[in-house]
Amino acid sequence: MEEEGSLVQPLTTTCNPNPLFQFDLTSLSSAQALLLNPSTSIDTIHSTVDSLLLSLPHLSTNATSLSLALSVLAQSAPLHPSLSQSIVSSVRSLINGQDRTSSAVLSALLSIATSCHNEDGSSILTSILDEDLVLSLASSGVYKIRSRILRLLVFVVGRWKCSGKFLTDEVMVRVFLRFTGDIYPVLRRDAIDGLCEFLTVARDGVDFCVPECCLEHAIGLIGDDDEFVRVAAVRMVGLCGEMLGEKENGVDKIGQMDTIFTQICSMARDMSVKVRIEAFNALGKVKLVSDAVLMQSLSKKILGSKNGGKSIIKLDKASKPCAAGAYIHGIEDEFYVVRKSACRSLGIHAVMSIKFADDSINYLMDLMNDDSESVRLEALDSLFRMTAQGCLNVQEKHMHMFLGLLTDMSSLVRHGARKILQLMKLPKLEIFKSTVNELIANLEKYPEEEEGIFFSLFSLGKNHREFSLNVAKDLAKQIKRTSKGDLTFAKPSMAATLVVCIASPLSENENVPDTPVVLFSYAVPLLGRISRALQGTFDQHFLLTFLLDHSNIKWKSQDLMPEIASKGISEDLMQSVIKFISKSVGDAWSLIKGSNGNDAEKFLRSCMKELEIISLNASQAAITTLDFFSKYIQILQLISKIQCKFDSRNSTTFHIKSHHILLEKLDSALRKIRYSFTGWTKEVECHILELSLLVDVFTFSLARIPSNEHLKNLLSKISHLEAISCLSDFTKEIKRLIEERSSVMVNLHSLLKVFECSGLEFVREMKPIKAELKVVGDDSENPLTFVPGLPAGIRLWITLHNTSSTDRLWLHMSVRGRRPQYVFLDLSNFEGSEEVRKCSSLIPFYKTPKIASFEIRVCIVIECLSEHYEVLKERDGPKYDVTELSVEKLVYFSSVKSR
Amino acid sequence: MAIQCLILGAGQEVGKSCVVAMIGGKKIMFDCGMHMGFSDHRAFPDFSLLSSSNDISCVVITHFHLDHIGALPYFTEVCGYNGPIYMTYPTKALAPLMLEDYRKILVDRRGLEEQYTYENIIHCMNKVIPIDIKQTIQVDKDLLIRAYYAGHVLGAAMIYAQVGEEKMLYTGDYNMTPDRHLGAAQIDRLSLDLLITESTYATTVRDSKYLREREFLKAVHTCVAAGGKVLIPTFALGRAQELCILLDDYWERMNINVPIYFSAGLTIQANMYYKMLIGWTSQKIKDSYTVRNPFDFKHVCPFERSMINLPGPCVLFATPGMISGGFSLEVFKQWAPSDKNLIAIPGYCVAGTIGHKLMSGKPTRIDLDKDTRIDVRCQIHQLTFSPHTDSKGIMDLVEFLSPKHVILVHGEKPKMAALKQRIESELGIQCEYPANNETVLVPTTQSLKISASKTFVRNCTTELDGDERIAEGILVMEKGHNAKIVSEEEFLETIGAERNVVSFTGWVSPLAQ
Repeated sequence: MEEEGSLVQPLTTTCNPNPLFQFDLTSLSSAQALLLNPSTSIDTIHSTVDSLLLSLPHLSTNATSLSLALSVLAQSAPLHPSLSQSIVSSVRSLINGQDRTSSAVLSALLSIATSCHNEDGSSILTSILDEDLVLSLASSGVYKIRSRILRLLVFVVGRWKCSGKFLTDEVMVRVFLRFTGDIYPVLRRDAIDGLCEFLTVARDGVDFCVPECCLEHAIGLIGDDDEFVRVAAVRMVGLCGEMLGEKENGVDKIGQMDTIFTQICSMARDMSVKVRIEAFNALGKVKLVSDAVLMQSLSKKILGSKNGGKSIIKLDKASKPCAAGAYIHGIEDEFYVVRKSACRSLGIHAVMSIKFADDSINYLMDLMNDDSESVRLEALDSLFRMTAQGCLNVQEKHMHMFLGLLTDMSSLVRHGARKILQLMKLPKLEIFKSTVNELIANLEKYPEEEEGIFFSLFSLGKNHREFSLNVAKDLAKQIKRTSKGDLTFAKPSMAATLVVCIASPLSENENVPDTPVVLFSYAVPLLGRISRALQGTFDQHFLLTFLLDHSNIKWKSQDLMPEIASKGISEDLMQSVIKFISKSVGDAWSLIKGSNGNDAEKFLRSCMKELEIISLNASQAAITTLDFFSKYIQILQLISKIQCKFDSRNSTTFHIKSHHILLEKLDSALRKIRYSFTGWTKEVECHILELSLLVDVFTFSLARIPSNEHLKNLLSKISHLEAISCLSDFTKEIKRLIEERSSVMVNLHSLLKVFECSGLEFVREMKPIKAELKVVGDDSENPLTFVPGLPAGIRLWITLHNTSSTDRLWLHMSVRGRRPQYVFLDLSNFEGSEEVRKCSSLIPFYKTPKIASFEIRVCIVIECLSEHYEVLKERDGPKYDVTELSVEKLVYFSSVKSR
Repeated sequence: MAIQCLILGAGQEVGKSCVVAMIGGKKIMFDCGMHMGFSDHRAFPDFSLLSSSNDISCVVITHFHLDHIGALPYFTEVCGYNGPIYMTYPTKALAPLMLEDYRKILVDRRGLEEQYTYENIIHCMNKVIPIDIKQTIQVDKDLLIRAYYAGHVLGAAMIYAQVGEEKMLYTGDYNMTPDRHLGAAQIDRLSLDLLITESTYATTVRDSKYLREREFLKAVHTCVAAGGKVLIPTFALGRAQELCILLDDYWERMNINVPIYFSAGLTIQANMYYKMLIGWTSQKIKDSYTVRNPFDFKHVCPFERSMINLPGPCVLFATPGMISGGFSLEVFKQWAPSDKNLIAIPGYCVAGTIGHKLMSGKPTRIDLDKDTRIDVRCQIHQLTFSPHTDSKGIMDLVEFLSPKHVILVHGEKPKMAALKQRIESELGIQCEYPANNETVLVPTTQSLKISASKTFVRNCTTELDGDERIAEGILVMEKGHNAKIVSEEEFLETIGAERNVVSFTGWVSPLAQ
């Protein structure tokens, strides 16, 4: 405090009315340092400010010191708002002093006002400014004073509504208008900005003569020598045009708007980029322009009176050439910002005048050839607005260019083009077809955009009933021609065409009787993809009901109707979906049998995709079924692959090894499906067993000379089947062949032919057998410790689902490159029921390697007891084949030494 | 005071642009071109009309086209001009190529006598002082010149000259609409006494360039799709690059594999210069340059003479334009007889060239000389691609600059007359289009600096009358003193007179009604 006091000392002496006393710069800067330092005490601040204020009148002879003192005060005002009022009231008397003093006071006032919150700023100004003062300052010969008072006024006018006024609206406008004639361009610009601000703030409250008067001044200034004055003037012309367009003033509005429009058009050829941008922005604001003038802005040539009878000749002579070709110049501009702005305003006017729209579409379409992406997007946006307003009249010549956009490099452009297509009205069937084809090309090139493309196709079909019906009939013919197994509709193009065909019947219930029934049933398996694309438009349940209703698939409505799950898909709905998927899977069998390996694979892949999409919304119970199907489809994929190999065996080199690998995979996949689910129906169990018989048949035919072991195994499976239900043709045939001791290989094809895929429809109420593993206190960052060579313990949390007490479960632990270690899990140690068993136990891992760190893969496996032949796998491990029940977990170990 | 303009060339014609303007006592020669249509003395401006070639303060060349620079070596090396020569950097870089190329054609192919030698060109170019856009050059104490961007071709400039209060602008050739590789002409607001502008397209109003581009691409694509060959005779610099950027982009987008050839030599060298002088191209090229140089064409392959008669479609850019001789004529002879082929002629063709004959009606045969006759069965596509501004552009520029006088050069007489009419009636600016070797006197306004007394200035700022600011004062002009404006009181004081007030009173008789 003492130090502060000593600093304040020279200032307080200023109270001494010694006229010779002068502030020196040192004391001023000390005062400044005190005021700006946040830790200065309030008292010191007050006394510093007071002494500064007291010294002000004495400083009036020294303008430099005074302005410095004022700027120190102005700087401190924002930090200490409580002082603002006292500073303001003491500088009030100085405002009419010398030129330099007044300008310093004004700039101090401005900085105080701008630093205040909300209304305080302008109320401070209201307290010291009045009309006479403002007028006398505004007419000062000194630039600095004029510029500062103008800036103060611009500041105030922005807060005009919320503060007391020290000027009437009229005086304010007059002062601004006067400044528009100032010789300093900066002041002219600020004055125009002030007027714009005034017009925007007072928008509805002003009389129409104010914008008219502003307009007159602004038009006088659009030819100004300074670029930024022209920018501001053009902006104001646009604003006035906008306001006058909205106001009712009894004047010939169209004539007035035409004049304003042509005036702005004349700025479209300005040499300054900023002016041109502003000009096109302003053009977009002027509404109610006559067609003749608008048309003129699209033509560089002066249009004659033949154009619509009433021509622009009526306008004053000078303004006629101004509008000529303004938009042409805009969209040809060198700078993309100008082109963009021109494009936007072109779009605005095109929406309002049909005649103009017809002409401007040529240019907007030509802009699709522009090298700047943002211009293309802006043009698309304008086209979209025109389409939405129904004033887009597409001609054939445009379509080539437009459809090219669907395969554009930029995804935004593609998206924009599709958005327009959703609303577009196409004049001809050929154009419709080529549009659909381009969308399909889009889909093939960018499959990730499927949802958007499907939605566009759907909208397209909906908007063109006749055309889509035509396409539907063609498609139905095509489907009829192709054989049952040839499921080309797995192709994206087929799916896309189907979407077009079902669109119009679906949305309006029209065309339903005309649309071939077969299309609806073909659309059912695509339900997931279609409903994803139509999210928000149609409920998935509705969609399915609709498709089923109109397809030739038999179903009971009560299967679906009773409860429509609000979230996700209801169980019943899921069941019906699954029913259709299982039917489709059945179809896939016919492909495999028909040796259409590639088609079958494609088809199965698309089935998988469907399943993935559906399972996103599915309930827990449904997921089990879907999981079963995805496993089942994997098996089918493998069978299809093996089948292909067998077929090609005669023609190309035959790799027994690759067959074995595939067969091994198939075998393990079948094991997995058998031991991952419980609660089979008889039919399903039979089917799975038959599949495993099929695997044996494959193995059999590969081995050529079957071992007795194989035969025994086959026979035991057949007897097992016999025990469950009566034998199918397939099993009977195998039995017969074995009994006759004839080669299975020779009859592989005939065997396959009799194999039937049934039973899948009964996949219901299955429960998954699965296990969850959790390793306690271990992750890759904090590994468990071990002493190399000694056993290490792993604490595990194990949860088992749907295991029976007869199941034999093992914990499988393996270190890369070593033999695995199995630990038997005694189910009696687990707590809980058959549905969920839980247990936490410390499992030892014996063979820790002699290295610094290692990781173990841990998972729970189940022994496949019904695999009838015994294989000695491990000395201390399972005697039968195993299949995994849990996800593999990694357990990290690091040696005690390395810690 | 007046600006005196001697039109040495391009008066009521296109070719050998050369204007000598005397402004404020300084003589400036704008451009020094040659006429491509003549090979005798008429090819060059008549320099004998100048009293002495060395009373010219400076020569300024706007761009590297031969009709603007062709006579320069002759003027400096043969006529003996020694003063400074100004041109932009690209022009200085490209001009020797153009001059030497033309000299070779003249001497080697046509076997004519050369007007200047290779050494002359080199020697002449060594004297050139390069300037940059918007760079102001003080040529001497009084004369100041400045270059503005003109579009047209790489490095083209408009030249502003000022001596004292007299200001003029010589546009050279310019383009008001940007194209694929060059920007539009760019100029400040200058209060000019005289504007000398080109008027190649004095009456033509061109449509949107998008339409022209579409038509050109369609014609070329249809031709190559049908297996035809496309010949585009262009000058090496400018149109060739413009059209090539267009085709290269289109080829890329439409995935076309037909080769595009550049006839070797000059054009390849020219492309190199374009790559180096990116700063003089359009905004778009400058922007995309950071990613890829747009002059590294993807689909362009080098061409060899033996490829002329190879089967299969192709597009060939061949020099010179207008099919005035050289390689483009050679190719034309081979390709013209097939109706599958296409000749696309971009831009203007001087009367007397084959290009001009093809454009003015579809001839079935062309007699090259008394022994050679060419059957023309190929399609002809005339492109309105032109680096010159159209009449709308000229009017826009004149309106923007609002000079006191306009002189039209570089155009055809009847069209110039029509444009003059428009400028005078629509813009109210006096306009002329003198013929070659005519002199035009353009009066200029003389402005005088006057000082104002303090009292007068104070009166000015305080006396307010509504929106108008009226100040009254008395202008005093004494011999030997500067003119001065003073207030009434001061004036009375100076002359020692007293103020007398005479008042009148009037009566209005009620009977007067």
